[in-house]
This record gives sequence, structure tokens and C-alpha cells, in this order.
Amino acid sequence: MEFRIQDITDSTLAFNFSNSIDEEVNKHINILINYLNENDLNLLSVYPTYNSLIVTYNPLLTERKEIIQLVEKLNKLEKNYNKVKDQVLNIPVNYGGKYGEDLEEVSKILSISEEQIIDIHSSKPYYVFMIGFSPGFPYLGGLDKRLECPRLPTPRVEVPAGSVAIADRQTGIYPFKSSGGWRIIGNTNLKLFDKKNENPSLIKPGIRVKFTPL
Amino acid sequence: MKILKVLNNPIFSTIQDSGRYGFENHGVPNSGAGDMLSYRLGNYILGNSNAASIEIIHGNFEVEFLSECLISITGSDMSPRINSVPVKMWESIQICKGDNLKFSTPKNGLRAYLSIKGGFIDKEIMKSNSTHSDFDVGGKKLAINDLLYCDSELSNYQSDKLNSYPDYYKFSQLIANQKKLDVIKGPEFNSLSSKSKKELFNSEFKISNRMGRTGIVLEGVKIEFSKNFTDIISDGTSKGVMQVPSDGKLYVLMEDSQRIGGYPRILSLTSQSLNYFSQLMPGDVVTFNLISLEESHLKIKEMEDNFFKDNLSKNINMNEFILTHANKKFIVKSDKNNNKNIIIDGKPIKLEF
Repeated sequence: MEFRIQDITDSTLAFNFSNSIDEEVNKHINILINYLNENDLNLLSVYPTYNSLIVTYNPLLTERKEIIQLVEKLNKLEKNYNKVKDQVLNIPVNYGGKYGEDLEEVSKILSISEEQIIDIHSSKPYYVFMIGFSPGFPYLGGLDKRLECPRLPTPRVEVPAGSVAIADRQTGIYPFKSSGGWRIIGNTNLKLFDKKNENPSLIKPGIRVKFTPL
Repeated sequence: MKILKVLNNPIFSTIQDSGRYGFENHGVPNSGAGDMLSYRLGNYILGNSNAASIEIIHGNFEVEFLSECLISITGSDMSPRINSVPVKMWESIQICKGDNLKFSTPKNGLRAYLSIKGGFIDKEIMKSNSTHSDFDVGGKKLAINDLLYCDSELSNYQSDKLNSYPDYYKFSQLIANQKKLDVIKGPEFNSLSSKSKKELFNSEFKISNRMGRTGIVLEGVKIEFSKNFTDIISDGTSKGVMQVPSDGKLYVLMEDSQRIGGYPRILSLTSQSLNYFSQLMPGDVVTFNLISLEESHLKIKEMEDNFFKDNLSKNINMNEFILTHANKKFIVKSDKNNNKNIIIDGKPIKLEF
């Protein structure tokens, strides 16, 4: 798979594999990460986004070009995408009203009823592309085109914990109270993150989640 | 061992180290000290590496020490006083049981660091002692009556040598005078309008009141994109990244920021300029200077050579005598050549005229 190299900062490299959201691309990146975790380049961290492999490094310890050479080498190895199992996790959600402050406005913007939005949103499982933005926040791809809605022009200062939200062709869950620019349509009371757990995030990249309206 | 007790409710003081890395795939931000240079120097003076220090934001922090130890104070000058006597920053300071250390308001920067020989011992979570300002993933904001701990064998350290940066008092001025900050191009830089590409480097930006360890909003000219530009798919970010949402403002991501974001990443502060930027206060004005990635890497290496390759010990010829005052004995050391260095019971005194 081809990629382009982007320097997000002077110590953060991105290997960007695509301009669109694509499960095959994401699975490819996750396999590369498994290989990269066994490297001896003193990298600070390696993690996936939808379509990029992100590497944080200390320029005093690691040469940028060494990282690029290693990723180029690993990228050529044969990959086995079937290793990633399709596990489905159910997420109970209260939609609309005080639980989903933006549902009414989204309904107006998209010109479809709140009930239809809930039906469409909870109709199928979503692939987990990455965890980020905040601890345990899953980025779920494959949101139905009918629910495509731009993010808020100015991010909200405080999004309540457990908020289920949408933005563009994405949907996700805010596990903690935080700021955020996605439109809130519902809320779950599931504990998505446990800092004392060795694997703190309940939802992991590569699995699927399905929303169940309460 | 209990080493200190917090005596007041500070504005915003937290335990920080060099950051929490390796949990980005669980969505965990890095946190860590904002001014990594001052934090590292404070620990370097004490011979620590990646030890937990206290980051004091906006000053007004008071503690009582419960045991002997060796400390250092670096970063912004918040007029630190021990038992009401002004002490020097950027030097090791011998602390006795019962000593009171008080920081006032910041003079020249937002953040100061209180470090201790051996480091503070906190409950390490996900391989770091760093505190996040919003998410409950590490320590917590320090408050009145909080007790902090350290390793008794490491902290109870006495040295005849004074560890300091001979030229480093000047660092305070260095912080205050950095108004032109180096930046490198971000992935979406080329999507900016040609007008904005110019204006970014020939206009001033002001630090707004919307600021914290997560990010800082800058006030200035409205940033615009070329007509054919559309939203990006959420992708990797990091501290130092400058994003522009559709309101056209510059949002600078700081140490507690998320590592994934959906706004265009037009520039990023270099690792070096981020140290200075993290010391800025609301109302401060900055301009940006575009450099290449290679130049930035060279500057990182230069800074390392300048600050972390020195022998810290000061070989100053000192007179030593015992001073008796109010039935108490003090060991006083003073500089033979001038009176610029006076150390009383291991505490470098800041002379104010």
C-alpha cells in the first residue's frame, strides 16, 4: 500500500495511506503497528488513526530517516488481514432530549425525523478505526450517508461524559466530560475507560460496536 | 516518606514528569511538564532523570517541608521565599525539616517547577506520574493539606558542592524575551489562502483568556483556506500543533491535548519554541518565524549541547563562617571575590537591593 509522509511536528511523523475512510487501510495500519512495536528504534509511541500510522519520536534518540526506512520495509511485507476478528460490543443508548442535546437540530439540518435518525444510527454495527481524542473515545466509521452532518462551527466547551455524537461520516462516544465539536445525539452510561486496567480502554481498534436504543 | 504538606489551595499546581507515552492507542493524552526545558533543568541540577516535579501555574503556592531534602526551583520567577527569605532559582537548595516555601505571583512566565532530589513518589498510572487537567488518568490538582512523598534514601542528600547554572539566572529574561517563535509547516499548510500564508508571518497574535494545559486560543487575523479546501478526516495531532476550526482562529494544542483531531493542522511550534510558548500569559503578543524541519532538529541538538552537557558544579572560592543570631547558629558561605553568592545553611540567598 502506498503512503505519503507528513511531519505533524518536529517529533511526530504520520504515514498517511489514504484520503478516505477505509477498513482495509486501517487493518493494514494496525498490522504495521504490531510489527513496529517490536522495533528497537526507541520510539516514544506508535498509534493508528483512520488512515495514518502516527509515530512520536525524540529527534535526539532516533533519526527521522531510520523510522521512514523501517516503515517502508515493513510496508512491503505480506499482510494477513483475516487475523483481525469481528467481535461485536453492544452499547445501550438513551437518544435525544436531555441525553442528546443536538438531535433536534440535526433533525432540522438533515430534514429527517428524530425517530428515523435513531433507527438509522442503531441499525448496524460500526467498525472501530481508532481510539483517541479523549481516553477510550472510539472513532466509528461507516455512518449512513443520510446522517452526514458537519461538526459544530465552534467546539463546545463541555460535552457530558457518555455522549454519543456524530460528525461528517463518523460517530463516536465521549467517555469523559470534555470539550468537543461533534453533534450530540444520545448518551450511554457504560464505563468506557478504566485507568487501572492494563488495557484501559473497553473498546479496542479493530472490533465492532452496535448501539441499542433504550 | 512524607516530604511536604501543601498549605494553601494553589491556583493550578500538579505533579508532572516528562509525560505519558505509549497509551495513545487507548486515547490517552501525553500530559507532562509544559515547559520541558525548565522541568528538565530543575531535575538535571539535582541529578534526576524523568523524576516527578510539581508544576506551579500562576503562582500562589505554599508548602511546609516535613523532612530534610534537596530541591531546585526553575521556570518562571514567582519570587520564591524560604522562611520569608528570598532564595535563588536554578540552584540546588538544602531544605531542613519545618522549612516553609512560598511562591507569590509570576513575574515573567506562567509556570515554575519545584523539583526534589530523587523525585516525588506518586501513584504511577500507565507508566507515568503526570497529571491530566481534565481527564482522571493520573494524579490530581494539588490542594490544601495534600501530602507528597519521596524516597528517603534519595532525598536526604547533603552536598558541599553547589549545583547551579552559572549563566542561567538569565533564563528568566530568555523566557520573557521570546516573542518570535519558530514554527514548521503542518500537513494542511498548503491549503491556506495565499493571503493567510503571508499574514501568518507578518502579523501579531495575542494569547487570549481561553488557555490551559489542553490548548491556547490566539487572537489575530482571521485565517482562511483556499476555496477548494474541505474538512479533513480526523487524524494525528500533538502538542505544538496549530489548528484552525471554521471560526478562523488559531488553536495551539498543548501537553494535555488529544492525539487525534479533525481541524486542519497548518503549522506547529518547534519543540524548542513550545517551551517558551508554554510560559506566555493572556495578553502576551507573539509572531511566528517559519523554519524547516531540519533546522528545528538542529536547534533541538544545539539546545541539548548548551544546557545538558555542562558540569554543573560551581567552583567558587567561598569563605565560610558561623553566624549567631537570636541564639541560633547559621553556617554562612560567601563568595571571596564579590558578594554575589551567599549561602546560608545550604540555601542560596537572593540578594535584593
